[in-house]
Amino acid sequence: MPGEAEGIAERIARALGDEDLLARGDLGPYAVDGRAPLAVARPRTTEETCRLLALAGELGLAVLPRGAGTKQHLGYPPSRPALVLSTERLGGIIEHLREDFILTAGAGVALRAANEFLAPHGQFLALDPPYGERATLGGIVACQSSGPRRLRYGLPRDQVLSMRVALADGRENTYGARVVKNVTGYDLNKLFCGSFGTLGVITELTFRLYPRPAAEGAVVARFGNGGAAQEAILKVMASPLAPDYLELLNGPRAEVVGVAGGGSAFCLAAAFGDFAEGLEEQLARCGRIARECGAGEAEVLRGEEARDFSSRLSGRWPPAGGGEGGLHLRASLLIAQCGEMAREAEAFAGELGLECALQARAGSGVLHVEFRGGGLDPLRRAYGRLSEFVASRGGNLFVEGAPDPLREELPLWGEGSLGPVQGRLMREVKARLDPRGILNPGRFFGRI
Amino acid sequence: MDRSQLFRELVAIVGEENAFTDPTALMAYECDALSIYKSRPGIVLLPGSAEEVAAIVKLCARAGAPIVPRGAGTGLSGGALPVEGGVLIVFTRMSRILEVDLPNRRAVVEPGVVNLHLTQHVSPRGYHYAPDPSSQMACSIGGNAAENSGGPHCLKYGVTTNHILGLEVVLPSGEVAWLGGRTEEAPGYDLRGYFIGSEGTLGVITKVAVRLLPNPEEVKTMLGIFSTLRDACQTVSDIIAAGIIPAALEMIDQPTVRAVEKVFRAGYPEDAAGVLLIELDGLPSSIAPLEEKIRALCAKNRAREFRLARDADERVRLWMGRKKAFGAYGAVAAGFYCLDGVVPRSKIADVLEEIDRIGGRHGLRIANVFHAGDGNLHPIILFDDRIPEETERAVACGSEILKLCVRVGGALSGEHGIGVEKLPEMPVQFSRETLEVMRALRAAFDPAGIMNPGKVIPTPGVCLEIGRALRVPEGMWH
Repeated sequence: MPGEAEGIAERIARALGDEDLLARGDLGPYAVDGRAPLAVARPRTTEETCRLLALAGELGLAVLPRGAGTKQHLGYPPSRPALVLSTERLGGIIEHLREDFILTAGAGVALRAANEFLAPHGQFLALDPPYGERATLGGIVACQSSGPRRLRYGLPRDQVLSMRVALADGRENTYGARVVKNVTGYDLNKLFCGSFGTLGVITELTFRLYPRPAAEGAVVARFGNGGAAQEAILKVMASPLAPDYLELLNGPRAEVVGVAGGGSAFCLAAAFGDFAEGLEEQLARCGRIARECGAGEAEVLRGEEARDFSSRLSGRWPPAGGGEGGLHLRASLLIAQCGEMAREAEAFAGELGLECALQARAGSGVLHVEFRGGGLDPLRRAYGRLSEFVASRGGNLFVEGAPDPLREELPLWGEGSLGPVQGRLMREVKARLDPRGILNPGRFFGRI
Repeated sequence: MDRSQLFRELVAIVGEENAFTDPTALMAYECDALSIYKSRPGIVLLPGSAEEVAAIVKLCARAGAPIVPRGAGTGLSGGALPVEGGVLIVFTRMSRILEVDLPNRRAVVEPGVVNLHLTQHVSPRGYHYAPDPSSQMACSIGGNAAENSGGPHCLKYGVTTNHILGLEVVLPSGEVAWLGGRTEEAPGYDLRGYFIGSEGTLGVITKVAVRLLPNPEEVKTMLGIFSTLRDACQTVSDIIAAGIIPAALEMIDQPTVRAVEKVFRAGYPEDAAGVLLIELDGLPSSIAPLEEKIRALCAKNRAREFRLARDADERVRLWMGRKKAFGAYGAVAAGFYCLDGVVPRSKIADVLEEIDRIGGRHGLRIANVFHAGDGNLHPIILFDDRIPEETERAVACGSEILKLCVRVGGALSGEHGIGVEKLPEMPVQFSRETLEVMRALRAAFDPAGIMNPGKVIPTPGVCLEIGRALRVPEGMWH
């Protein structure tokens, strides 16, 4: 009951002695699944977050953790009415060990703000998820968000060194330490990365940092067909070149990103960061590989131009709102399977009368495919065809955006390939960290 | 089920020739590379397949018998220390490379495959497996996964957990499951990431899917020779601050150099206070400017000498000196105790001085060889392990050093794991609430507590003293 939940939220605010705990006014911006929340709590400290969770649990209130809300569209709808717990006041740069290339910050700090802070030191947090200008450190890690540069720098799990979390029963835990190499005890950092807020609320994080490269550049090559692009991908990945990213785009996606397509079916973009001499050699050799595989003359971008292109690549896709009627899928396959899947996706999009936009992290075997322009049934069939393809290749398929009826039908988190033993273990883990099931209930895999 | 019946059934699973119960054979397995603690198992089994491992675990689960898995026994924290009278599963026979898929940069191996053998297997085709612990000539991939092992090249390439795509494990229930697997992204929680580094306490690894990398085009190995450790440490900081991430950055102190030269004659100068071993890899045009910068930084920090290895032979010799350092200490002391702590890189020089003072207070000599690039220290306490009192002093000295690492913002273990060795210090690193959660999650995997009991986190009723075996309470055996 809305009135009841509001009453509970007020009681919690009074118990915590924090007049500013609850957000006032229009709660529309905090909506989840199109519904404005019953109340929004914004704790200031880890301790307050712990007490808030303990109280919410005792009073039977479910809790939806939230950073900037750029990934709130993911997952199934919450299984019951809930309080949104926003990290917007868990901010601040807590410690910058400049010499050690380590940064500790509040979970509510935006990635953009963290990198603005680090820029004068010639360092950066090597994460480039979609909506990087708004996304928070806590949200990026909780959702294991990533972008093109995961090829060189890895996922959030590879960069998080330590985190402080508030558990559902109000206990506080700290995992890891502010050092880059650490095998002390169990690696709970890994468990929390990508746990989508269902195991606890991350309040502070420590990351390893990287030096800003002395020089940056990118090569953009166009191919007449997917097979040629795939050949180039394999050649680059077998070479001693060390690209920051290796992205495969189909025509429609290349056009959105701003590559002059001109009839080419596929585009391959590779970026490099190195000292000047090494950069020139890598750009030249990458261009040569592309030409050997039948690409036309590759475009070479440097410095600011290269950086602009790279941010257009990771930018705002998939759309934060979920895609306004489109079906957005993410497939995890092997490097050698990218070209084939791209061809398949375009082929049956054509058969079903759908538009298809595709961008792959080719070096990681991860593809994003968006189908649009049709009703529910063609989209349903597109999912079915792709799902069969991915399953037959031993991969995993996730749904990042879909029209509401499909979100109820489809296994959004790749549950099809989750075995019963793994599923049981995961539920055991959840049961021990959130026994009352108050965190993001119903939203994650298996509606856990 | 009594013990003799259990053992009969276990022998039936692997075959008589692959099971040992006689005391002489068992003695070979009573410790890993941490020889301070010894404990004799009741039976040693060498299974040949995942199916045999699953059958063993299922049977032990029914009997409530404690299981300890062991790879090559090169662990330095007692992770493979047997439970007295318990079951030890050794993976020597499960050493096949099952699948190699170079275009997709992956391979699948049995857990007993020796780390270096994997690299040697794919090296003719231009690939390698990046995590390279100093024991790589002997240690196993399964053991590496259980400990989340490091090595000198982890500075640039990451540790074991960054190079494993999946694990096939036998859970304490006897069920077999893949955690992660073929592709980078798997559904649900990162159980693969949680299992890596869990030191054999959550289940037994029966297959490992690993990442492979193409070999770098060029490798340059150089030595910076310094008159003070502090100058060497400052050089490390300056190199990192210059935006250079070398492939490896290792520090060796004078006592270590002396031991190494006595045994291996690797070519290190015996009168230097500190020697920095630096390696760069990549394209020739990427490396050349870096070599110049490093040379300049060494000079800026008063390096007495700067050497560039002239050929592959010299490179191999320099690395042998580093990787076999532990083995060389036998020439200068009856025994040694190798520690493993990690501190922020910027604090290394101060911590080394404090370690020296701690050694002095305990009347023990300490040598140092370590991964300077990531602050992972290996203070080596030299002592006579035939004298019980000296052993106790070495352990007490080690404990103080570990606590120092935590105090300056570091951690107890950079790559060797907790095992039994660092159990007493776990409450210094973690709060009671965090340890409770770790205990609860361990119970989620292993409700009966049969998997490697007495390791990683303090367990009520299970304790270990020097000179006594690792025992678990009576009630654990039905």
